[in-house]
This record gives sequence, structure tokens and C-alpha cells, in this order.
Amino acid sequence: MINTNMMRQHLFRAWSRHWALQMASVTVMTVVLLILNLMFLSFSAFNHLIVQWGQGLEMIVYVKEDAGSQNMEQFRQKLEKSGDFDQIHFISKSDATKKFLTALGPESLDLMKDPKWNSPIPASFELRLSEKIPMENRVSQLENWASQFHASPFVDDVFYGQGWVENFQRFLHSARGAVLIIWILSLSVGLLIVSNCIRLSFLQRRDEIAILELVGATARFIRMPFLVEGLTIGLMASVFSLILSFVLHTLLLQWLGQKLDFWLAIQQIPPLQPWFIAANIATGVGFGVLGAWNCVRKLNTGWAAVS
Amino acid sequence: MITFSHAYKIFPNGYQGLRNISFKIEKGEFVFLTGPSGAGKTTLFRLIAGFDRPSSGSVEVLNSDVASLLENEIPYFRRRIGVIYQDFRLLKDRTVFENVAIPLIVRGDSRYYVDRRVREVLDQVGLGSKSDSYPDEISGGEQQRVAIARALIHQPGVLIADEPTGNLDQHMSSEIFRLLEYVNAQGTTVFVATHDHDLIRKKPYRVIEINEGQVVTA
Repeated sequence: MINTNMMRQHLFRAWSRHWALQMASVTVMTVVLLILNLMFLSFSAFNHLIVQWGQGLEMIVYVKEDAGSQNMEQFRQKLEKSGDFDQIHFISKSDATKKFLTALGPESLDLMKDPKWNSPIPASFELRLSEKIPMENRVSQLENWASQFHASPFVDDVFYGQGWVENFQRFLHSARGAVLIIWILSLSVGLLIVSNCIRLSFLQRRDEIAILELVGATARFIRMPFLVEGLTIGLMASVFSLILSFVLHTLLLQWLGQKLDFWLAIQQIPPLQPWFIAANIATGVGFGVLGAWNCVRKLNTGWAAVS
Repeated sequence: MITFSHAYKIFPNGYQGLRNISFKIEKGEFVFLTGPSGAGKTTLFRLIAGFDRPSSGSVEVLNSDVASLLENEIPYFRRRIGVIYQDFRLLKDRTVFENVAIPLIVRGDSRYYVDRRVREVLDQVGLGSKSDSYPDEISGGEQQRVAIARALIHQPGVLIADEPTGNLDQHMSSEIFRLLEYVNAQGTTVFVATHDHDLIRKKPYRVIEINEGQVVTA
């Protein structure tokens, strides 16, 4: 049986008699968690920016001159029904020509008054994918629609920045994979470091474990206070790392906003989310308990009193 | 109470720590275990206290066969035995009271009972006034008395003491032996390993002598 009073006494003794080693464990774990947090936050901010840009993906569908207004209307209705587009904007041949000539200079508009001049600019649909379509499906959805449009007898050409979109998709995939691998590696290294640090702290109390075994304490009785100690170290480290992450995250975003010219985009990067705080605490506590368990199970062999 | 029957202890490197050990100690006996260094005294005590298992043969203590104890039964088995070492094995960061209370806390006894029982045993060993001292603040003899109090607090059936006076002067040793005799007089079986042949000669108790892992006299 293990009572809370005993746990409290164990924690009090651990912190009052071995405070330097306890602080070393908390510091090391805080640094490990901070590195993991900053890595995650940087990737998450980067991902957020990329997604913002990705959401602006547009497609221009150029229609043939002989398409006819009835066919265009049917075409528009089909797109609206699909629900895949937030914006379906038809630009008539004359509007497109006017826009083009205005861009060339106001005097170019005179060309339109010439009855012999036939504008080469076709009518088009400007389409923007719905925001409801998840990021990982956006490019494939765009490609699907492009191939359908190509097959239509009224469509002359389709443009959606094909090369850029493919590169963007490839980059996003590899970046996510690389970050995941680095994060898992860092997590394992972090766990190892934390485990060794807690081990140093526990080794000082090898005698305590040996004597408890001597008088007939069960493994659960011996290990539980040490696991609670590991949990406390993990909890403290995660709180410290969250405070530091918040401060560094805010300062870094401010600095980036001043140094770089996409302040508005950076402003949209969300602050620390509740799920992130929960995940951080869970990781810290998990690190602490796993590190403590890994260490105490090696010391509490059942035969420690004679070793 | 304690029965060794053709017990062997062979270590993984092939060394035979104990060879064909057979003897029996009855309830309430006071027995000395003697023999030169490396004779196997500590190995024999480890078997009795459930800190090791015989390689073959049987070791029965308080009606339990040590060889067939399951891992999860061992702590409960150890609670029925009191062990005293030459180096006291006290926790330096706990007071005399806290050290003595450990076996009762492990057993899950109430705070009231722990408090009453610890004070009672400390009075018995003459350390009632030192309950709030730390081990480093008391003498070697007093530390050994704390170890004895810890070994007795849960009223074990058997008390084994491995060279309990090895680190103490003559006067302190006599005091500790008087205490062990008192414990024995209360009905506890006491089994003491010692090198002190003068002491063995002076006392009327049975002696088991071992040499090179074998019983010479039982």
C-alpha cells in the first residue's frame, strides 16, 4: 500500500536533499522539450504560410470562340453543382481584351474601336478551389478538373501553374517527412538524455532501494514514488518549456515581421494552441515517467540489497 | 524453523559457494555461524533471507521453500525475517525513527500503530531519546542498535545477523550481544555469523561451522 503522505515525504526528501541533481534533470528536460517545441512551432508556422499560399491556388479555363453562351451557362452550372469551387468568375472576351489592353496602356484601348481588329484574347473562367478541400487533396483535385476540362469540346486551354503546383506538392511532402523523422529522432535522443539525467539523480539513492528490498517492499511500493518523482520533473520541465516557447515564439515572430516583408502573413500564424499545450505536458510527463521507470527498474532488481 | 537439506549454491562462473549443506535450527534457538572469510557464511545467509536461491537441494525457512518462492512472493517472505548487517545499512537522510519505521510503512500499517510500535522498540534498544537524530549523529554501537530495532520492529520469526559486531569495539559488541540475547529470550530464533571465537567460547549456544562451502560442525 502506498499513501499520499509517503509520496509527499519522498518528493520533499528528493528535492530538499538532492536539489542540485533534481534541478539538473529539470533543466535538461526543459531544454530538450524547448528544442522539440521550437522545431514543431517553426514547422507549423512554415506549414501555415505554405497552406495560406496554397489556398490561393487558381485555375484559368480558356473557352473556345464558338462555345456559345448557352454552353457556357451549362458549364458554369456544372462547376457550381460540384461544390469544389469557392469562386467561379466568367470573364467575357471583351472584358478580357479590355483588361489586357488597359494593362498595355490607355492608348491601346483605341484598338477596340477598330472594326477590322479581332482580339486574340479568349473568354475564360477564373476558378478558385473551395477552402473546404483539405490541403493534401487540393493539387490532385486541381489536376482532376484540369483533365476533365481538357476533354471538354468547349475548352481551348487550362492554366493553373502546373509546374509550380507540382513542385509545391513535392516540397510539402518531403518537408513533412523530414520534419517528422527529425522530430522522432530528437524525441528518442531527448528521452535517452532525460533518462540518463534522472538515472544520475536516482543512483544517489541506490541504498534506499536496497534497504526497501531488504525489509520486504514490493516492486510497486519501491517504484511508485520514483515514478511520481519523474512525473513531477516532467511536469515542471514542460511548464518551463512552454513559458520559454511562448516568449521565444512571440519574439521570433516580431523579429521576422520586422526583418521580412510578409508581416500580414506572419500575423496570421496562430499562437500556442490548447492542443499543443496539452501535447507538450503529455510529452514532458511521459518523458519523466518513462525515464524514471527505465532507471528504477534497473536499480530495483529484487536483489539490490546484496549487490 | 530453518532447514537446509543437501543444499548447493553454484555461481554462474562455476564456483561452488555452498556444497551439500544440511542442518536444522529449531524455533527459539540461538545459533552461531562461524568459519573463515570466504567460507560461505554470507551466501548461506542470503539463502535464508531470500536474497538468492539454492542451485540444488532445499532450504526451508519458516515453512517456506526458498527455491520455489515466486518473484512476487519474495517481498512477503522477507517481511517474516529480520536481517542485520555489519555495515548497519541505515538511510543517512532519515532520522532514527524513520529508519526503524520503514518495515511497518512497507507493510502498510497505520500511522498510529507505526508511531506507537517504533517508540516501543526504540525504548527496548535504549534509543528512545535519539529518535530524531540522524545516523551520522550517533555512535557505531547506536547505529547497530537502530539496525536491530529495524530488524525487530515487525516481529520476525527469525533474526539473522551477519557479523553484527564486526565494526564495533569490545564494549559495544557486548552490548549488542546482550540485546540479541534479549531478543532471543522473547522467542525469536537468532542466527548470528561471527569471527569472534572468544565470544563463541563464552556463550553456551550451538555453533555451526563451515569451511570452503561445507559444514564442518553442526
